[in-house]
Amino acid sequence: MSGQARTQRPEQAPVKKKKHRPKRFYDYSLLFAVIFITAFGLIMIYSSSQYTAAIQYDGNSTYYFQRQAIFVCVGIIGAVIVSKFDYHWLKRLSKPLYLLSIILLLAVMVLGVASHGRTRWLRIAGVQFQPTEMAKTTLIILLAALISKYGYRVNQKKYVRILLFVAVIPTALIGQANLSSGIIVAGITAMMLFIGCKVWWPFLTLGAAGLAALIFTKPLLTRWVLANNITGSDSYQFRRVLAWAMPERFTDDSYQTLQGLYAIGSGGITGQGLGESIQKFGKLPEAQNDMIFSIICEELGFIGALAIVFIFLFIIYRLMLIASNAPDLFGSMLCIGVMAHISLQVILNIAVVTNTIPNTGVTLPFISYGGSAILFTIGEIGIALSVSNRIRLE
Amino acid sequence: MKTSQKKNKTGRDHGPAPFAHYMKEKLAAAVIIVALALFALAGRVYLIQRDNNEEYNRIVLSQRQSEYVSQTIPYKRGDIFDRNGNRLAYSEKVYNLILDPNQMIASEGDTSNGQAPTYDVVDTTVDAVAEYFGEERAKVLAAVEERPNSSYVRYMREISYDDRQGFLAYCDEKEAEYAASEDPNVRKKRIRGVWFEDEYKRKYPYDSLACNVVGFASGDGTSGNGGVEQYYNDTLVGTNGREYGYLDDDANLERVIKPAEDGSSLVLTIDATLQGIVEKYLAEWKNGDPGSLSASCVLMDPKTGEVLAMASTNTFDLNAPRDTGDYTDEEIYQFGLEEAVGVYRRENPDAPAISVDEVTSHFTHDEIMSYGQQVAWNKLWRNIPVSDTYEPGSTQKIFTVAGALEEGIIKPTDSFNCEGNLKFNDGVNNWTINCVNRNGHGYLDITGGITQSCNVVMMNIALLEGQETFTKYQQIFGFGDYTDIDLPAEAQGLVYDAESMGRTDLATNSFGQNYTCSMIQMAAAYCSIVNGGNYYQPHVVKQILNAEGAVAENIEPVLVRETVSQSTCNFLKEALFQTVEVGTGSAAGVEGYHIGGKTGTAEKLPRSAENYLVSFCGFAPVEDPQLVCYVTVDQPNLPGQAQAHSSFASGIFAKIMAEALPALNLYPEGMDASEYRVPQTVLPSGEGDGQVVMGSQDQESLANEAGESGSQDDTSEAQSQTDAEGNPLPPQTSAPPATEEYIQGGGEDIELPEPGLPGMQELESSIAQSEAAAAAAASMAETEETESAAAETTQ
Repeated sequence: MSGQARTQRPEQAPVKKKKHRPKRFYDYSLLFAVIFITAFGLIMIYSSSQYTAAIQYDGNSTYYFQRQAIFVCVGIIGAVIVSKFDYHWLKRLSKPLYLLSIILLLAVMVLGVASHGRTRWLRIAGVQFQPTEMAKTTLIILLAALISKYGYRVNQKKYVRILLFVAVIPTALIGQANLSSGIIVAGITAMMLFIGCKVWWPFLTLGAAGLAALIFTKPLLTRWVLANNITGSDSYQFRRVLAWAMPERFTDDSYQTLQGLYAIGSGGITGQGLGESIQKFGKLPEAQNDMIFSIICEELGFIGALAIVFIFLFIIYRLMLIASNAPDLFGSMLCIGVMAHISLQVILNIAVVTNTIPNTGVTLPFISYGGSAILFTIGEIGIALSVSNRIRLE
Repeated sequence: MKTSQKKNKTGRDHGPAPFAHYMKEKLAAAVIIVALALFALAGRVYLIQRDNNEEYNRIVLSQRQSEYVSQTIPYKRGDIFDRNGNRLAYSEKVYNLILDPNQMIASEGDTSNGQAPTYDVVDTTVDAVAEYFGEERAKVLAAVEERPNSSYVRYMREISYDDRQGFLAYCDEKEAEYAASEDPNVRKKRIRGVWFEDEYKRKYPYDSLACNVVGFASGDGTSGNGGVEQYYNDTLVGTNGREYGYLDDDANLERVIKPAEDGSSLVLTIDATLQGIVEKYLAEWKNGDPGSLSASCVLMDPKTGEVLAMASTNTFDLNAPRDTGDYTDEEIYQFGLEEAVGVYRRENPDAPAISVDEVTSHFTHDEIMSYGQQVAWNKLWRNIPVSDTYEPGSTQKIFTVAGALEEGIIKPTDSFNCEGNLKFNDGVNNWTINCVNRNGHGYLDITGGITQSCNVVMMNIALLEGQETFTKYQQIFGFGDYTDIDLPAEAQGLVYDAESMGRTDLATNSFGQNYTCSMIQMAAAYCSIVNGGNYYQPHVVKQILNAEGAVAENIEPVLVRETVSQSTCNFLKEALFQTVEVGTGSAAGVEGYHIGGKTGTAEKLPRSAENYLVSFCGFAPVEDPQLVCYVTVDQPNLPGQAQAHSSFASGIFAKIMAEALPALNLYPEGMDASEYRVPQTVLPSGEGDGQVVMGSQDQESLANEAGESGSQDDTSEAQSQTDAEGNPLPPQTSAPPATEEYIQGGGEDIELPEPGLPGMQELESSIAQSEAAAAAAASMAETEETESAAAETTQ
């Protein structure tokens, strides 16, 4: 709390001489990188969705593009406004926001709009939105607030338990309906804890276990399937795992994955050219959504995919710098949370698209179509910018 | 980025939780891990593209191409017109209603993330289809839900243009109504995913007219069955167009519409009016008394070989060719039983043949009915004038004379003495071949031989000619060879060659027994005599029109060969004229016209069955022949020799000519078009006085009465006369004017040899009820009957 009072001091003394007013940093590089990548995302959304939009919406091929453009504009303006506020007010709001998101998560379970037997959407005043996206952001804020509050005590088991408890509730609520989002929430928590805590081994063990699972599951599962002549499963999640391991065998479940791979593979080094995707013509489901990265690969090739990866790496790098240089631990942890969120989503999305991991619905931040997601991710960038704006230059 | 971060930490800032050094390390480690992961994934993308680029490219392209519904644009099968432009067959565009469930569902909007459908499409569309076409809603919905991923569900066929337009208008109206609605739920309604596919339906506006010449096309219009529909199928069909997508050099999908090329149309030589006249009188004969197994007629233009009409009593509705309504189920079952015997023999060549009674133990009822159905169809669809061969009888006689005159073997003034028969010895048997007049005609010149239809004269002429010359002229007149008429399933007929022809064969051939020909062969051969010696290939198509209706090809008459000289022809024409004027063909006369022609009465195989095919082949006007008409009547429904009255055929001939000639603007002598009345009223009723020498009708009624009495109980005088020996008796009157040729059964000594042609034996044995019976010698004789005798017979 003292930090907040301290940082507000300069603004409270506008009458002071100009030379005493400290210069503040503002990470324009991050802002423009994000504006650039969302603009690029809009182009890709138009390219990948125009065909299906025209069919679905009475010939309106720009349906998805228009909606997303509105969200992007609102999101960027919102982010700039947020960035001009002192982020410390979030500390006070962290608990109410967290509670609100938990309530909304519960509400969506009861009242949510059903789709394929799953409930992820909540309609408020005619606007549908995903509480999941909000929960991710509010959890980041709460964890940042708690870690900065505990300081070095975070290395004590008791406080770790509190943090884990705080994280488990939304993880469980989200994960029961949407496993991928649950994994992302858990991942964000893990990464924030990893950086916040001094110990290495639990995280390294966890990471190694995950890597080993990734490497060994496929051959073992394949052998098991062949040995027992498995042809399917009642479990929706397990079928996806089977489809991941043997896409040619479980074609019912691997259709989307295979079509995505065809798109990526047909792109080659330089791609078919912007707007020249063939798979977007109704073949690849969710082309403008989860699978947009395959369309990018198809149209822009390996070079385009690499460029996207570098832009994300740049954003992550800027977030790292802001975190490293944040005026206080709360700011640092906020940026780390945002960074964790974005990097996990990017990694999981590309991993799904390339069939490196089983298919789960993960969107590509800033690029995939989705109003709630783009609003909250850009909003998180706004918070990071706000943190950067508290960095005083010499 | 220079910051004051260090200062914050070490200097003024002493917050409870600084960003510790280990945190920086771990942050860097986390970022490095993230970066490594991203590079690893980029590497994976690279590997996928490197290893699978070509294969996946191919998959993607082929998927894309196959996904684009490549749509066939059907061609229009060519029309068929008669020579005057009456449309005998045409293809009408109809529409198939296609449902596109895939589009319907997609048009509801994106529902993948649990959003409610943006539009209400499936239900609205199903409602529209069900309501407009009066379909059951559940049925339409089932069609949609059965194949939700399909873009092509053919729901209804052969919707008319009006219904299609009506439905489209209905949809527009409904959409406008939805759009104007206050209710947001109604505003969400859309009709999508319904479209119409073009198709053609073949129509025959004259139903059964010229059915055997026209034939009928298959449902999809790609093939024809029978008639010109079959023979000219390649001309009538077009090339289907296509709407398809292809991927250009840049893998862009290009949409291409290749229009269909419609088929060419045919203009037949058939004259619908004449065809109608012919069919009318054949039908009248068939439905009248006595009727016959079948009756057929060919009408030709002797100057070109064009067939003006071709018909038989086998008719069927071209619009419903598979309707065997004329046959009862029992008849079809009986056909099936007989056919099944043959099927069994073919399928089990080693097993002993089964009899008709045993069929039911080997075949199911449905199978038998199915065989019977096919037999019935084949009977219905058979084009008798082209596909059937038979022994022609006396119509052959003019060709016997033609050859002898042409070769100078006889002179027109030569005469022969007819003593009633000629005796032959073929080395095995002695044959006595009778003349029509068992008492003999006495001395007859050549004309007399034709007008009196004297077998002895003909046999003598043929014997003078010898086998070489006789067979040469058979060949010249096209017997035993295809005429190459442009109709399918032409029969060739069986004739002797000179080497295998014995003297008795020569003798019987001379008056048209013991070899077979088809009606079209006989009619074409007559045309060549009538037109002065030019044998034209008979044909039924005059012109081929392209899809735009312009003449693509004129089918000119094909002069196959010159048969005999003009003088020979003139002599024969005069003889034929005399035949009708004063000879056996008088029943064929039509008042006001100079008509020539020849009767024919042939005994069918097996001779023992005493079945006859009577015929008349004639032409008019004698001075400038415009029309050749050949009528055959196969097996009148009378017992034995009562069938053998050529007036059955010449009567039909006369009726047809009386109406056909005026239709060709040839009016009776002393009349012009204004005076001419419609033929039905000109034709005598049969009760009129004898002054009206529309002899045909008189003869017809006489023949009918004779037939009636023949089939009645033996109470009438006529019956007692004919049944004295089971055969009609020759008239007792002396030297009356010949008015009809008919066969009279002779005693045991009068024998017509069985045909020596092995093929013919085989052919005929299929017709024969029993081969054993066929082996028995049959007798045949021709005799003359006076008008008075005929009248007497029918008293």
